[in-house]
Amino acid sequence: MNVYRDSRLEVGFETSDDAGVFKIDDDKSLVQTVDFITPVVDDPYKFGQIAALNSLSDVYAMGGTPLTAMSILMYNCNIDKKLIQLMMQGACDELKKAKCTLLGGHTVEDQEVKLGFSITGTVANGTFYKNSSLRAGDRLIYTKPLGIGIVATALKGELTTADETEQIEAIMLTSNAKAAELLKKYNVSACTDITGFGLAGHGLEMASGSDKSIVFEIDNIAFIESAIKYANMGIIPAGAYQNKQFMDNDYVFSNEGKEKEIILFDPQTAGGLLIGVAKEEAEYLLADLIAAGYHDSAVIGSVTDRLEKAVRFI
Amino acid sequence: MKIDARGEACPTPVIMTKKALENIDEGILTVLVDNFASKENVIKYAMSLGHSCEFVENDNVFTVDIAIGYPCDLPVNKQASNDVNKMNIVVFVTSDSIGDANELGKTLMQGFIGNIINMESLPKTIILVNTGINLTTLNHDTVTALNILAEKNIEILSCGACLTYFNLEHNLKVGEITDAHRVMTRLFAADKVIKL
Repeated sequence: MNVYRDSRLEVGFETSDDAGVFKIDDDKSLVQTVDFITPVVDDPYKFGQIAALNSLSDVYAMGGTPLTAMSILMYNCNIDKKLIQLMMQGACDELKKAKCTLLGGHTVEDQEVKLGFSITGTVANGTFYKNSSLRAGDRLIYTKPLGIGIVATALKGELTTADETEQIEAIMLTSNAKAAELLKKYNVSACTDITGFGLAGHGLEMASGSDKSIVFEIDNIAFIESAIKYANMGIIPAGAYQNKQFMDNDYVFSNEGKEKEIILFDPQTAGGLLIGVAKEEAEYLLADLIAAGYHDSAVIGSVTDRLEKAVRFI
Repeated sequence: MKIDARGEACPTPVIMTKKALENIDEGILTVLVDNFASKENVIKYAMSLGHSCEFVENDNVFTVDIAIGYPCDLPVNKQASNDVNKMNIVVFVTSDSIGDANELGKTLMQGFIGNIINMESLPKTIILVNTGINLTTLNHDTVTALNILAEKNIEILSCGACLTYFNLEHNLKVGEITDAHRVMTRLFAADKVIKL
């Protein structure tokens, strides 16, 4: 593909990062991203919140501070306008918490509702986190439990209990803002948010981009309890199988918990941050994250020099 | 029972399977899906309930057979595609009587035909020749039994030459008239022929 490249481009799309970074003056760069999703919960207000958090997350994962937002909205004109209003209010309330100004947006008619934002943020010169700069020896911390896509699929199929629904909503409604803020105190090499490609897919991007391998320890990963139940029942989004198929040659899985394997590929909506941090600081960052309310945070793996496979699950 | 979940996205095929299974105590549920993920999911779901499953793929359509209430697994490999439920069974009836052509023989035949519906694996075709055609024309009880089978898409074929021979071509009450070529085609294509 023939594309124009300005010399001020700092992070482009080659390394499949969360957002692009473009230097605008000597001490500042822009962080820009776009993302939109279909409804994952029944409540329109909460869906709006989740759509906004999901979009903001890419800026946080780069170490940026959100500045402005442009909405992308699709809906069928026959839908009750009140639902759209509630949805937008949910989104705007989250943008407000992030001190991110909504400038406008674009709306298109479509059968299924979709909502998302293009977020522009800023980052101080050279302080952004790429996903492709892991160092051998780093520890990997993940801040949310896995299985959001599976439980959201069960929710769509009206299978979840009230408790399970509440739990999944709470996980998606947890903003990554505070976590991203905490990182700045630590020796962090790379960061990404886990979304459509699942932990395995985003792990692969990090490992490949950094020319390293990642070893994930299954027994240390937090899984949403109901996700294991629904995965065993075959309530698995098609995206999980596609993710797995895509990287079938790039990983090995050698844990006894075979039923957890597919959850590693589960697409996450508003997933958590996967952080590469210096080994000796991992426990301190972890303690900070847990104290800040990210209760399911855990050290889930480590980075090694490149092995035969980019990702190993042990 | 068969459900068609082609064109449906996850989790709909599983939900459809779940609803269908709630109404089946024993038997085979066939689920049609058109993508790998749905096939995997339907199989996972059925297995999680302890049912055995097998599938075939044809032109990106997966046909998943779920066996409910059977104590044994279905055969899983192709060699064993003599899976009784898919087996092409042909019942070949050459007389209206079992054994000697007496009243007892006719009563027996009536009983045998009436019991086909209760078999675990139904035949694909029932061919009636010679006095066997009495069962699709004159015998009210067997006509009723064969009509029930015809409703289950079982092919009921009566020999045309035989109908003419007995002057019953206008009395056929179930199924179709057939010729020697079709009879032989069905017999040669059969996995199993049961002759009555």
